[in-house]
Amino acid sequence: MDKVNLRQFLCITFLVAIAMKMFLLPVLMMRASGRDSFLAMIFALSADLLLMLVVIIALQLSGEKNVFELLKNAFGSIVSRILLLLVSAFYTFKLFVVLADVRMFFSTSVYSSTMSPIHLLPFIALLVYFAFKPFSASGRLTEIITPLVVVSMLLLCFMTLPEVDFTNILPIAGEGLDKAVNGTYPFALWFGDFTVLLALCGKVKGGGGKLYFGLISAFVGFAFMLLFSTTLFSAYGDMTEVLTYGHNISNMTQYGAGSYKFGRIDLIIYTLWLSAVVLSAGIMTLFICRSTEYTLSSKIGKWVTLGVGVLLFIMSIIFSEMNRVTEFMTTVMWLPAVITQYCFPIICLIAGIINKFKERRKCYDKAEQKA
Amino acid sequence: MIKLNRKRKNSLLVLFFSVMFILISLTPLVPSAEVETRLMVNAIGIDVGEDGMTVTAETINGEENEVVYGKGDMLVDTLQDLNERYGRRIELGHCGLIALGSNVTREDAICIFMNVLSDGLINTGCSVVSASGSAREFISKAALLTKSTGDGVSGFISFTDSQASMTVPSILEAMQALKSKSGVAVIPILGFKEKEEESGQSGSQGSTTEQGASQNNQSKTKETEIVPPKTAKMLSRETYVLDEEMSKGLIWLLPRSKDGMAEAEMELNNQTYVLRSVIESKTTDVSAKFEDVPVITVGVETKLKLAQRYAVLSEVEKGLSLNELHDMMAEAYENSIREEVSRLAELSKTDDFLGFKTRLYRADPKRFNSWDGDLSNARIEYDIKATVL
Repeated sequence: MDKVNLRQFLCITFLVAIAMKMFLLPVLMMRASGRDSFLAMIFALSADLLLMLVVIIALQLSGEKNVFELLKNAFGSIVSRILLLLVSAFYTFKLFVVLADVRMFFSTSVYSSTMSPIHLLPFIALLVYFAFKPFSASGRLTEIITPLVVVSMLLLCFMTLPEVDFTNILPIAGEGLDKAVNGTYPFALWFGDFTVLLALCGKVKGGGGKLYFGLISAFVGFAFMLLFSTTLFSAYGDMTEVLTYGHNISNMTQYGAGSYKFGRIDLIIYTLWLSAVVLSAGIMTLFICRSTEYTLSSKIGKWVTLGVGVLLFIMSIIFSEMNRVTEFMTTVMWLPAVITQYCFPIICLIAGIINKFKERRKCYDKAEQKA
Repeated sequence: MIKLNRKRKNSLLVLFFSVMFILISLTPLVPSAEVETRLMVNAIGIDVGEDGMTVTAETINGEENEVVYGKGDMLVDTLQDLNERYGRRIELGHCGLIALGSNVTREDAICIFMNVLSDGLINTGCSVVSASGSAREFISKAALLTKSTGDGVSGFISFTDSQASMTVPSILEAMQALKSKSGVAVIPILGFKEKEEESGQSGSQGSTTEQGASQNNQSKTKETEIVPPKTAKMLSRETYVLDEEMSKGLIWLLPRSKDGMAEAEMELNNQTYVLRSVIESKTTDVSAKFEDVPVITVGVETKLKLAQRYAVLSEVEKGLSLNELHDMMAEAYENSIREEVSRLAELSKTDDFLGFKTRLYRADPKRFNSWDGDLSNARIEYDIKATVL
């Protein structure tokens, strides 16, 4: 069975909401906006909630059609193939960013002197394998992992938040809104994750109006992310020059004085949290695989997915200088990210509306003929 | 060609992933565990002088603690010197304490903290204290004294932090204070106290007077102990020490300090009672705003548990009601707290170690940016509330 049920859809939404934002993003935002990153993150997350609304409406309008059939019925075969291939190409870049984030996290937090692209090989192999499995497999896996992720985040809250001085986030927009705005669009590649859920067009059992619960799921995920990011923003608000790629949310459990006594028990928590990254990246790979299967053929789609895995590994070896990678992603790739991630769902929504009109027209014509 | 069924395929895939994972994830352990090539540090002391920087580190190597030294112009040179002297790379990830020498200035401290934080060398929860003399002497002595507990210096400091009235800041908190608009950090001073104790048996004490003196001299032993912090060093434009009397106010104003003893004097029926209480709970609220002048409001609310109750309860027998007595004790404490807090707050107008400018900036950043930064004409209001249990 190639479908997910409603509960699995909500779990996938939650994990996709939190996955990519735990690594480099808060540090990169702080370098651009300082403590106004708090506002920048609120702006970006609000845009993502609107995006989620558009995605849910598109999923609802798609009925039993997959994303290719939805676009093909509205815009024709050629346009839909081009669109899906472009979006797949974009998600290849995005997967590269995910791998770079994961590699940076492990190289600074765990394997400080030995982390190399070779360590990404099992992860890439797992993603490719993931893409060949039906949606029901990812749905079931997400259902199993989500409670563990939620428990780990709640534990993190108890361990970290009592020690945090959140007043350090003030004043909000103390020097105008410019800094906050500068912290939004350059990081578009780290947001807009819900677009990948369009792969679930026609694949959610018992959806309908209940799909809108996905907004709550997304909101809860964002609330966690904003809370943990704000911990970093308030801690380093006056000293952003101290921040390097090694600083991420994983350092926050060390906030309280004397916390070193407990050792790095927080790393167990982050390991659970990381499973969200595996799922989110897996769904991106699934999207690439399915898109190429729909547009080309099933066999070619699988080979292309395998090729994407090899390409990601080669890119991780060649482009290992993190400064250059993040500079490229924030100065060049932000525009394709905005266009792809925020416009593609709108295109799917328009396709869904066109399909609905066409269906109604057909019914009307049939009724007229009978009459 | 052998056709594999689904179960067999999945088993082979699981085996493949497991083998790949094990082989790749264990690569850091080959040829030997990385921890054996490291100098694991429990606490470090940093002195800055004309001839450069000296780092003294208490290291943990299995069951034994050892004190090692390094010298250099800057922190990175000094740590490299340590690596070369001892043939191991220094590992600060488990370091629980940084002791700054008495001659470390604000600029030196910023430089040191920025180095260790930005390079991710040290845990952000690592405690920071100031030594009363040189950090080298402090670490060397402290390592010997705490050897018996097995905890190391940093273990003792964490105990102190939970029991003392003056809390020890983390390196992150200290850095936040230094980089805030106020730009001053308060670092507690730890020092040593030597005391003489008499040892020996009663027989020798009952000896003759001629011999008594010499025998008494031989039977006296000197003991050195680490003193919990009662004074603080101000890392400001000019570094100075806040004496014990002035530091009393810090108990009420440091946000994380929750424990300690509080004293007050109460005049009643021509008698002066010295009240001693344990702080059960305490909340501090310092807020600021701009009016015609900057206005700072210092609020302290505390609940105190009276020790030596018998000393004051005699007044109840003389006719005073218990409620009236509690109200009078509360008033005595409020006056005492106000006196301690106002002394510090007035001093903070010159040096802003209580973070008034930071709070003014948070309240009204636009007005703050056009303000000349002079706190001398600021008005300080107090809202002190004490309850004696």
